[in-house]
Amino acid sequence: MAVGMDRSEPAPSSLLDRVRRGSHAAFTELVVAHDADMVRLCLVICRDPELARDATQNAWHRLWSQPPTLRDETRLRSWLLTVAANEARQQLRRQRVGVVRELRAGTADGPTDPIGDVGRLDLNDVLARLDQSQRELLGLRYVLGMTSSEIGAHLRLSPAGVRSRLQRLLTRMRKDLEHG
Amino acid sequence: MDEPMDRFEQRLGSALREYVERPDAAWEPAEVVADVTARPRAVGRTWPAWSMPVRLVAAVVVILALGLTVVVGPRLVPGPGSGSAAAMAIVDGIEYRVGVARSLIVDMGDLTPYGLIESSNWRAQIRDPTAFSLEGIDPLAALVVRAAPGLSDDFGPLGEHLLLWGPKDPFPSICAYFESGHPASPTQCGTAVAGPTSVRATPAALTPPPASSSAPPLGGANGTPLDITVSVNGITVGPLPRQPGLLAIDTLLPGLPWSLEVHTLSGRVIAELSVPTDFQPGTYIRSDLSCGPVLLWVGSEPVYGPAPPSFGAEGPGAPGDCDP
Repeated sequence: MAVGMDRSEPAPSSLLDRVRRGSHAAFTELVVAHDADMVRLCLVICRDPELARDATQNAWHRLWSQPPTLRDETRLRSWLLTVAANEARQQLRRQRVGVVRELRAGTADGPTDPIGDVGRLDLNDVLARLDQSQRELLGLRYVLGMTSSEIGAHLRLSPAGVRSRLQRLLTRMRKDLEHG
Repeated sequence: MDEPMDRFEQRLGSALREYVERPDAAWEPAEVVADVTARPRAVGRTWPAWSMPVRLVAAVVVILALGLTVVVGPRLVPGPGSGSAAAMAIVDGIEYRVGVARSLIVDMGDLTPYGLIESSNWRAQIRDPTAFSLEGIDPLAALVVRAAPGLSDDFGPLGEHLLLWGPKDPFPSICAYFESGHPASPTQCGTAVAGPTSVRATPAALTPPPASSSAPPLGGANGTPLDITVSVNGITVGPLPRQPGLLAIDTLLPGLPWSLEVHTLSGRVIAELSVPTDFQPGTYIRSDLSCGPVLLWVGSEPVYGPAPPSFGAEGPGAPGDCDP
C-alpha cells in the first residue's frame, strides 16, 4: 500500500466508482447511508410496506445494475430518491392497493383544537385522497425534512413553486380535517 | 437552512414520521445487498452487426427531424381567425375570456371536471374540451383547460394550462395557484414584477395619480428599439423598456376608468386604449410599427388574435412610424 495514501472517508464519487466495479462493500455503504430514507419516501407514496420495500429494492438493483453517470456525484442521494419514488409509482400501477388500514398516530389535544386533529387522523385515509406526486412532496418535506430549495432541485421546480404546492396541500388537508 | 413550520406542519410531520416507521419495510443492509446482488446484473447492450445500417438510417431521420424543428421553431399560436378578436370560450352558457397562465401551478388533484366548452374561437389551442374548476375558486370566476402541447407566442411557451376568466372576480383566492414572485403572475396577487422585470414609476415630476386598490394589473411589451412610456389618464406611470417579454407595470394606479396612452420620448402617441370600469381581463391594444410591435394589456396577460410577428422582425407599420 502506498505510503501517505489518503485514508479519509471515501467520497460518494469513489463509492459509486467502486460500485461500478462490483464492490459489495461500497454498495453496502450506500445502502447504510440511504436505504432508510428511500423506504420512508416509498412508504408515503405507496402506503404499503411490502410495495415500499419492493420499490426500494428495485431502485437499489437499478444502481447496482446500471450505476448512473452523474456530473455532480453529490447528487447521488437525489438520484436514489427519484428512482425510488418512480419505482414506488410503478408498484402502485402494477398493483392497486385496496387495503385501508386504521392507523391512528399520536394523541388528541382536545376536541376544540383543529391542529390536534392531525394527531388522531387516519393518516392512511388522508394520504389516500392525495395523488402520488402530492404524497411524494409531503414525504420529501415532512419525513425527509428537505427545504423548498432542496425539493425544488430534486423535482425540478422553483422553490416558490414548491412552497405554493405545499401551501395548497396543507390548506386542503386542514380543510379535510375540519370537515371530518 | 431550515424553514419554519407552523404547529399544524409540525404535528403533520410528526404523524408522518411515525407513519413511516414500519419494521416490516426496514431490512438489514446485508439483507438488501444480498437480495440485490443475487439478481443478474445488467450488461451493456450489444447490437448485432446487421443492425448497423438500420441504426444509421434511424440516426439520420432523428437528426433531420431535430433540424427541422430548429428551423421551423416552436408552433406559434395561430389566431382565432377573425381580425384580432379576443380569445373566448363558452362553458355552460357563460362566456369566458381565454388567458395565458404561464406561472399557474396546478396538480390534477386541484382540478375537478366542471363542464365542456360549447364553443370557442380558440378551440385548436385547447387540448380537450373539458373545463376544470379549481378547488376553492368560484367556477364563474375562473376555470382551467389543458393547452394543446407545444404552443408558444412571442413571449415564450404558453404552458400546460390556459385560464378561462369568467364574469366574477377570482382574486385573491386564485393567487394561491400562481407561482409567487413570477413576473407573469397577476399583480393583483401582490407578487409580480420583482427584480429586473419590474417597471417602476418615473420620479414624481408629475403629481402621482390617486392610488386605488381596485386598479387592475397593467402591463405591456416593447419589441421596438424606441424608448416609450405609458400614461394613465394623462399621468406617466412608467417606461416600457425594450425587451421581448411581458412586463407588469408596478406602480400605484388610479381607479377605473382609464385612458391609456403609449408615447415616444417626444410625446408622439403610438397606441391608445380606453378601459371602462366593466372591462374584461385580457383587454389589450397592440400597435405593429415598422420597427416592431408594442403591446399594452389590462387585467391579465392577453391571448392574441392573429399570430403576431416575432419581436425583432420588421413589422407591417408605415415608414416614419418609428421616429422618436
